[in-house]
Amino acid sequence: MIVDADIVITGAGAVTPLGHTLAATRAAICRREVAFAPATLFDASGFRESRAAEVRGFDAREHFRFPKAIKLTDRRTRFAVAAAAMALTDARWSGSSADHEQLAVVVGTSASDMQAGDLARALVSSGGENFVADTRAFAGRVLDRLNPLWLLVNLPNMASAHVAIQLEARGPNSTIMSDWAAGVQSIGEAADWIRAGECSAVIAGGADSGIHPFAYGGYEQAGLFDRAHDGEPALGAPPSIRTLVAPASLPAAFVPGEGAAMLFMESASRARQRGATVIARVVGSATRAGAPEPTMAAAERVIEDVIVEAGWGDGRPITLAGSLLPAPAQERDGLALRCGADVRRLDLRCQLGHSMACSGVIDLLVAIASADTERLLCVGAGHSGHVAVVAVERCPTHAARGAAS
Amino acid sequence: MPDTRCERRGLVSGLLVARVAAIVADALDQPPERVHLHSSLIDDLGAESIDFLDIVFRLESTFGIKIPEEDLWSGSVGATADPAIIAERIVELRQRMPAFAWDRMPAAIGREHLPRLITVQTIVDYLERRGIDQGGEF
Repeated sequence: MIVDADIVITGAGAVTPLGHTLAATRAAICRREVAFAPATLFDASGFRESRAAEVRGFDAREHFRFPKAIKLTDRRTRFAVAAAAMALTDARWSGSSADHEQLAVVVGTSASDMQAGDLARALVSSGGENFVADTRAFAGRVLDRLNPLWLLVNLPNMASAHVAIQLEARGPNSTIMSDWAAGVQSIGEAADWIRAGECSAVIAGGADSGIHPFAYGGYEQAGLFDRAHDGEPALGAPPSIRTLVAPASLPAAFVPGEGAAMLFMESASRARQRGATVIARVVGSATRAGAPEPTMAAAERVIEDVIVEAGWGDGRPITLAGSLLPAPAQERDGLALRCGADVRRLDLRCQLGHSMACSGVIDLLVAIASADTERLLCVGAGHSGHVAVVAVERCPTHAARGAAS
Repeated sequence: MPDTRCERRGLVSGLLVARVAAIVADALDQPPERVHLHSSLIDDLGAESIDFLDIVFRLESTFGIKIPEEDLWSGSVGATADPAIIAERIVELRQRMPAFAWDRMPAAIGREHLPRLITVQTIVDYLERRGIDQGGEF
């Protein structure tokens, strides 16, 4: 049963390697700043790629209603809470107690860093024995040396849990872990919840930190550090997009990043009722579960499904934002051209690094403010084959639709 | 003549108190100036059950000991369920901790109230009973 089909975005917040707010991030991107630097969160010198796009000098404390909870959070959870708090503030939402019961949270993320340093120290101090076959010995010698709070910090769903606790969001709560598609998928999930009447508003987006030994080990084994990342704009992109996308002089590589980008979403009718400023409308979404290898044909089908759902078959310009790694550049350009007569490309990984589950959502937020097309297609594609696509229409005047009608 | 052994013990005890207070302050996200010898971890510093897990782990790591969970929960009263013994030890505690906010506690303090009596002093006393009064990491 669809209760309210028209879903809008009325608030946004982000923490990225180029800025601790969405505004700061956009300004840095327009200045063509690049967040790549030698990794400091751990010693990455043993990997083929030793750089990272780290969020530096960030203190999440001001965004926590209960700062004591910070000790129970890892980096991506702190980013998530901060970005969500900023999105809520941006939306100027001040709900009643009953409204808080209808405020939901869905966060796309991936595995945590497992506090690799603490885990390694526990393993080393245990004497280096092989505990593979002796779980009792492992529990007694290794787990005993880890803070009992370690598991609470590293569970994937702690990001959405802490967002809910800190912002008093007592509605539905979910964590999506469809690899690098998770953040974009959360937007579609949130829209579905509102349409189905599960809640009246959702804080949705992605939060991740892929800068740790386990992640770098995985990227290296997958050969991602061997590939050049093409940061060039798609063929035929207009100068306006080129001002945002890195020119050829910027580095081309897969550089792991981190951050969080969160949206405040609600029904258009509720936004009108409370006089909210509508930033954009969510007009379509689709996902595809992972396959052993990502296929551009599958991603193309998902994109075409969303374009049909959004009613965008008229060839008007579309900005395609987000990541399509690890597809070769030619396939990505072909895909972009097959999506419509005039497709502009926005891919910020050459400046922000790849923020894993958060990627795509950050691109969407930047595109909402800076693209020169009304229509935005946001793609999240995981290296394991997950694909999520969301269609969004910008509201350049940032006026409530009710005022215009 | 100054009693150098008492002076040394006073110095060591002072260091131990400072170390424990720092651990408690860090675990409970409290400014150091709010953590007093007789501050109730629960009533004054906002400790929850999960925080005691954290504090116990930090104490164990810092002082190289294992602390059975029931040792800390029962505080200075000890692991007893006998109401008469508990009442007796509460009387002793009132004399040893006059600065504690006893007026917050019910007239008849039962076993269920003991966690609220856990203070920095409680932890220091426990560590000293365990032989942590000299040496160690601090």
